[in-house]
Amino acid sequence: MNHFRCHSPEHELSRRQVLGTLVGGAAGLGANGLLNPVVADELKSQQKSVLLIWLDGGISQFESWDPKPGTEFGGPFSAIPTSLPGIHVSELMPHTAQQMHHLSVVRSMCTKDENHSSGVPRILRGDPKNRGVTYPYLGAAMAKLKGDAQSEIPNYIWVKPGSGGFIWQHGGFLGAEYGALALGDGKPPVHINRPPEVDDVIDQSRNDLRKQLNARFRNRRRGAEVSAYESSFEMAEKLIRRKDLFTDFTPQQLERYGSHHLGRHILQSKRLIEAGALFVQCHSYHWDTHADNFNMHLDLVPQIDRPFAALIEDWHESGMLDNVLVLLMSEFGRTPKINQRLGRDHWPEAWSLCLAGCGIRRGMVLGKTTDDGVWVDTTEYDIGHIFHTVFGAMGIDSLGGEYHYNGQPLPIAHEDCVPIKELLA
Amino acid sequence: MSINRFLFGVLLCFSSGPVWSAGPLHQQIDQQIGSRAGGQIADLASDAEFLRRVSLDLNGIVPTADEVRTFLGDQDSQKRAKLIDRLLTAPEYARRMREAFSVMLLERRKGTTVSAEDWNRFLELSFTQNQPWDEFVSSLLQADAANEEKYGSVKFFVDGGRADHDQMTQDVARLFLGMNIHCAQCHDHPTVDQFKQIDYVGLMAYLNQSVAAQHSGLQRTFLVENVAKAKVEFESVFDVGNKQQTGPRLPGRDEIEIPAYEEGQEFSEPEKDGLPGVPKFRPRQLLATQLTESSNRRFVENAVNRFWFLMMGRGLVHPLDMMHEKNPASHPELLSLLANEFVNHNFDVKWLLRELALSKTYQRSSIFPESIEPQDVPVESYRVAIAKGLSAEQTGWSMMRVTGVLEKVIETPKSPDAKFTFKDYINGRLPLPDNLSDTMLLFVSVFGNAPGQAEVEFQPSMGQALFLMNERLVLQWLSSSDGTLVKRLESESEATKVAEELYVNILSRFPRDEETAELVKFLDQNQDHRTDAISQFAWAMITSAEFRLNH
Amino acid sequence: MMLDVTKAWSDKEIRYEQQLTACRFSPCGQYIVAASLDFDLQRWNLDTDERTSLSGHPTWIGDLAFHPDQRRLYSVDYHGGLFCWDYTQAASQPLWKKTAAHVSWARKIAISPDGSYVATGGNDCVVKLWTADGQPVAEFPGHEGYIFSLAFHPDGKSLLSGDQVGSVRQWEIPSGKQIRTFDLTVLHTRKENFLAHVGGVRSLAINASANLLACGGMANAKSNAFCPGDPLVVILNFGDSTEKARLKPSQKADGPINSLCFLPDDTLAGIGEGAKGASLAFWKADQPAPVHSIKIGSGYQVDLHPDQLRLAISRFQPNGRGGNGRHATPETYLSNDGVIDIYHLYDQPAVAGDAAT
Repeated sequence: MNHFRCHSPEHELSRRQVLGTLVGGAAGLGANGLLNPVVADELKSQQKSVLLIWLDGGISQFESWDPKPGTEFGGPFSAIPTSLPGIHVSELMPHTAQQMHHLSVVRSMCTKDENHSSGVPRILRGDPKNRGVTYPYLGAAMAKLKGDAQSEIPNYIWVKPGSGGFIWQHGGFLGAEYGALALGDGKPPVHINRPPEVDDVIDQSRNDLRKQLNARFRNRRRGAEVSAYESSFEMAEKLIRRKDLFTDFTPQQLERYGSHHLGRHILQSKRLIEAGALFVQCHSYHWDTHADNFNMHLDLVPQIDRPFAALIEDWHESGMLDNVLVLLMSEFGRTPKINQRLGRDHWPEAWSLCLAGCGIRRGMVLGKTTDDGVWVDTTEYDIGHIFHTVFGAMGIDSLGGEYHYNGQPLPIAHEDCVPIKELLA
Repeated sequence: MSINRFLFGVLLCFSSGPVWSAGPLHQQIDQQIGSRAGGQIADLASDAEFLRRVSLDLNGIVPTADEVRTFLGDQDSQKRAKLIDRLLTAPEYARRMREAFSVMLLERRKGTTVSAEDWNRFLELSFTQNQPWDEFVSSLLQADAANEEKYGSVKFFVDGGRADHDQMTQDVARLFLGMNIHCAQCHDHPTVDQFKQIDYVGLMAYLNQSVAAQHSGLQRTFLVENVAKAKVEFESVFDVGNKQQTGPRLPGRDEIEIPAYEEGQEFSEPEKDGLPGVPKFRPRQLLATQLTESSNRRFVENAVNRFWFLMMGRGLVHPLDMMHEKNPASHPELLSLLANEFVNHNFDVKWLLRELALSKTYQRSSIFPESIEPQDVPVESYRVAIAKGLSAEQTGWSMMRVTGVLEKVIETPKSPDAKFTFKDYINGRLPLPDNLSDTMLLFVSVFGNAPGQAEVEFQPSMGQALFLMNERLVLQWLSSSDGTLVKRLESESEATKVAEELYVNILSRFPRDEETAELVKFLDQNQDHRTDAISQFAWAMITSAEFRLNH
Repeated sequence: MMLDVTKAWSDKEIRYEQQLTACRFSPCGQYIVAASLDFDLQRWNLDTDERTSLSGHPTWIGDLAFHPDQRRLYSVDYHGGLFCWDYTQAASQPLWKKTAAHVSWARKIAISPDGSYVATGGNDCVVKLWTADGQPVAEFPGHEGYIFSLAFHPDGKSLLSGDQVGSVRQWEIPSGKQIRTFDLTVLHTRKENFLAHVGGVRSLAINASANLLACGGMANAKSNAFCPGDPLVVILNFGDSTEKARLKPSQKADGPINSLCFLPDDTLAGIGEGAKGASLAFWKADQPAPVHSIKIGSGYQVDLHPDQLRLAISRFQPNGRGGNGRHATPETYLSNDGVIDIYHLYDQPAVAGDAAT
């Protein structure tokens, strides 16, 4: 599975991989990354991709993956059996319970940041050791490590409520071009439709002229700005060619996944992955139930349970699950203690997340919390471990591979962490 | 070595003029840049390059075709200096500065407590009068809503999410001291040793009594101050239990004593007009004075760094809000020099911009000499000019000018009942904007950053590309309609003339022979839809990197 | 004894090691019973302070109510159960129970003044009517949101129910005919980006002469996460359904008014919850600001003693540091506590030992 684990010359070369450079910054070695070409082709031919479903705010592990009914902090909900013998989840996840044999659930997450504003970017950047640089978000990293600049579909797409745009900040030190293409409400950007007065012939003609002018202008000039500008047009053209990716969903699809935001957005994410997107991040906000946690989770958890279970089942049936790594998580869990508004606060000390698909073992639970659900009772895992695991499942050497930034070699995941081998298939 | 540098620095601080007679500032800039260049330096930009660049930088818009022809044909050896002076005195100078500094200071944040018109008036007046920079920043911090000319300044603190004292503190530190201390709110900055939690809290202690209040008579929001009674307590989340406190304190400077008054004696003026009484001790007013003192090195260096960035495309310290010892300036002596000279010239903005524009460093071409490879030349060497992206405003003004619609758009009045919002427009609920205000709103919505995101790097987006490709307004400007360039060229039968007109109008230069030949051939191949072909070529030029960049 | 809420004083604080939510005085006046988050009912003898647990619910208890016969107590739970107890006995087996009286949560229960009917409501949006022995009588569908509050008309001939999306309905008893609806959508917020409804008609109260209907909750909720909003009570003229007044607490709070009850002189007592504090407030029905209020942490229920001179509130009591993340060592992480305070609604006697007469 992992191509780097032999003492071959390719392996040695990959340890020196220089994988990133800043737009207009210090010398890189080419626009497309510096993987040993042999290795690069091998990785790309497997067409793997990643779907990260992010429940922003912190879904309660008590009310989802790690129920503790009848205990001091357990709350009112009960636990139900799943398709994995001996394993129970919250009664709020009946559909996902039936898919547990495809999933790996980690119940022993223990991370450091209890704040959203700092915690969310930290988690999504893998919380690496601080070296004074801004690490890229997981999607940007994946775009750099496995992305195909020639791909018809942008490598890193972010399906989210609210507004869209190009979020260059996710690129971190890799550079602005590795940012996320955000699709507000999962919809394509405005202006994806060409006005009638511009037909194919005219469009081709005028863009050819534009490219000609740029080619001339670029001569004897620093190319970074021109490249960034041109790639924005290339992305635009790609998206226009793939307008079919944004047609309406069928009533059957909406019935199965739900017509609420998250249902539609998971459907849209699924479509983008199936069309060849390398990394899709699907965001849902407002899970941060400091007040009325139980009322709220009663209404919120079904909104992920239904589409997530449908997705796993559909992808298992079509075989896509072998090629897509699915990660379902938040930035932390919720406190065992119930507060004065019958809510739960933030709890990074012990929480759960779920992995499934490409490179991941099927049907297991890793780790456990104490009987009252307060602390992790087995090996604690930080987000760095998860990043290593995700990279490993995608065939990337997270231990040996390096980025290169202004002459400084940088690990691609936290150097004190390793892939969780129990999770890797 | 370090002792000499120390004494050198001391001498520089206390001198009233340059330590050695090395000539005017712009020549000293070139000497400093040259001494650290470490390699070959590019030629000066051509007249056309220079004209376009300095017009954009000082007047916010590309030159007209007439201006291009006049400047390129002018034989006066002093024409560049004269051009700079003309641009600095044109009304467009104040407008351009207002646009650039609105973005820098407000970062496109929304909020209508203070109107954009009042804010713009305050800024443009300041730049028109060439108000010294220290006085301008002082006005901003004072936020004196009683002042008939300056009450728009209140917008800085009151709109855009700055009612929160933490936000105020962070933005004052970033924008006026070059310190991004967001991470020092709860503990000493984890990676920048120089940014301490006490810097954060000390700065906040100047600002935490400021609150917005409504004047009952004038329709205006005032930024009043409550009575400061105690120091601000803080403890690091890494050192819980160790409680510290500080009064108002600028980074690196002494703490200000908070005077204790007897109950009832704290006010210099009583409550009036719905506003609370004016306290005798007003820390924000003190900040306005103390932060802007010429001896506050951080303030001066940050100021010149930002003016340098505005003209050159990169700060001597970059990023602009990371001025600390582990992130030194690319040219530390130059930064000091600029700071000293700015002080010596009484914070004269026009003087500084003029000196920057006169330098060869500024007037350098962005084209690399034959003998060197672009990737071998570090950006911060300034051996080759840095290309900047056009701002949203520069893009809007320039596109309107080159397509020939500018006058018409300016003259078209905005109907008072018709409300134009970007959201309504892109969802197809409104017709094409026809007046200046709505058109600029559209361009700012497309090309400006999201609220709160500083506009520093060139970040072209796919959404902008789609706009340029498919926005009907842009296509209308490029069609043969009233007053457009394309319509004018429709009746120009000579293809070489068409080529020249297109290049002079849109790219502010004459075409090279091969470019003329290319266009002539293109028109020839498209005889039966010649107007369309002209329009296509014009589109390609407007959407080209050459137009989109200030190079 | 003259009822004077402005002089209210408390001499009893009952504390429990888990949170207490619903609480009511027994009609005999001897006990107070509260639901605790450990799935039990806690019964305290008001004179001896002795506590007894009534166990049997498999999950949180939503609400409890007493039968006027001074023997029976009913409770509903979040698995849809309806239980009936003889609260006078120390034994803690229910007399009977219906484990699936409702689908999903049964949140509220009310008993008609003469004890003939028991009404329950919850997440299946159906008001259900039972005899006192638990025989089903009728079902009243129609609500489009979870039922958050129930109150019988003093004459027992109709029942009011309030829901999560701001609708209050009056039902004829026992037929279930909908007499009228009231629009309390001011107490409901669901902005486009919310994932769930926030607010709702959390409390209902009708005064003894039945000319005032008080509806409590929260307006202008800002999110479905922290759920901050403006606590609000809307007073309607029961006769013609018009709005009489909007009452607000004077103490700062950001959570809903969870419970209301009218005092014999038509003073309205109400209690709310809040992240940073809330209050027990007393209003006159036509004045927006309370005539008296007492700052408390965060409260869930208010109930009037049969002697009509004492008021109980249930509220939150922190145990150890709260908030985000780890503050405690593993040994000291405990759940928060619950407290019942008993207030006397009259001037405190000058000499200790002056009993209430």
